[in-house]
Amino acid sequence: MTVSLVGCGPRQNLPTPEQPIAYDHQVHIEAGLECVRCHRGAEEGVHAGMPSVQACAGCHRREIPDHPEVQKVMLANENREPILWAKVNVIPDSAMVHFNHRAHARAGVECLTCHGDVASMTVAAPVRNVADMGWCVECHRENEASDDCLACHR
Amino acid sequence: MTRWGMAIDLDRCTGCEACVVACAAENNIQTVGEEQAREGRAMHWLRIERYYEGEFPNVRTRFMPVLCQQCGAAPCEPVCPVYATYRNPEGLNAMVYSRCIGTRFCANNCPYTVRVFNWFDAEFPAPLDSQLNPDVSVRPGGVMEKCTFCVQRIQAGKDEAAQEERDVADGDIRTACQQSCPTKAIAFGDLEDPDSEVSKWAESPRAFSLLGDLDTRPGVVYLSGSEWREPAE
Repeated sequence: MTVSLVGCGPRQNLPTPEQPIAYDHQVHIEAGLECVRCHRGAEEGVHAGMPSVQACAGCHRREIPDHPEVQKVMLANENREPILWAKVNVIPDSAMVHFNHRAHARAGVECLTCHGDVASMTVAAPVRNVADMGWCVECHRENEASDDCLACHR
Repeated sequence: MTRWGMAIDLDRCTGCEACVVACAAENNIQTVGEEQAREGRAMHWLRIERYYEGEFPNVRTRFMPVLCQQCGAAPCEPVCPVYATYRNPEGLNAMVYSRCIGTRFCANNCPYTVRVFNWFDAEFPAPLDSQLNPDVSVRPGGVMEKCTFCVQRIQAGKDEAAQEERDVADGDIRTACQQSCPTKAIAFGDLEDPDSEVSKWAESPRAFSLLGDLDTRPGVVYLSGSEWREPAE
């Protein structure tokens, strides 16, 4: 028997957060960038991380600096202000989970397994509920990763 | 298989409480304030017990750091109705905060009284929130907690070793209390590995278990060369 609880299902309506700048993943991928070019910690860090404003501005000084959205980046860079990107795939603090990004990259988990095909998204949107523990455990068991609680919860 | 264990040399311990401070900082342990502490609600995961030997004026103080003994047969585990505390495959007495419903049966059943309860939500008013350890959850009110053997450091050590494609070596993983001890009175490592520092210490003729007659099979071994071993009843 399958029991479905509101808020626990993998395919619940996941909100797509509003971003401060209309960033387009697809355009950047088509321009030849790879995920790890900007999310530098994805393979080697505990957190995938976001690129610094300087990193954005570094490229855009040459590439379409006059685009109105790019202008926002350049302004933030001039003012030395961070861009407050909204988190798309959220594990709530109340879950008390400490997700290790590089451990998953090391195990050969593809970006799109959890994040979906971000490369063809114009607005980054969640495709899976990454806080769905049943789904995590299923994958851990299939791949003989630890299913000890302390592997994630601590 | 790994069995995480700790050995504490009481002959080296000066009772300075650096371990207590390091533990609180590492594990985001909340400070409850004078009033709550008076109620017996102080939340240290590690405390220093004091015992006195001899008659005044020939008195000597003995110190004993007491923390979760990570028992092999833990009295706290079978009483949890929601399986929030259990023995993990590496010999840790695990505590899953998100499962805990706060019955406090475990603390009631712990002969070492090392479990502490969050009577209130932890408050870390700015700028104290900036010093929280991001690798450790801040426990909400209504949840039991205790020493984890710095499980976040164990996980980080294993992750680091895996990243470098090697096994975890003895001494890679150090707990906060061990790291802070000025007299190096604490050894931590794998008790299943006969060559580890902690195994060698545990084999010492000075080694004993706290409340050993309870047969809780602790993962913490104490060492003392004095006639004093444990406080007599």
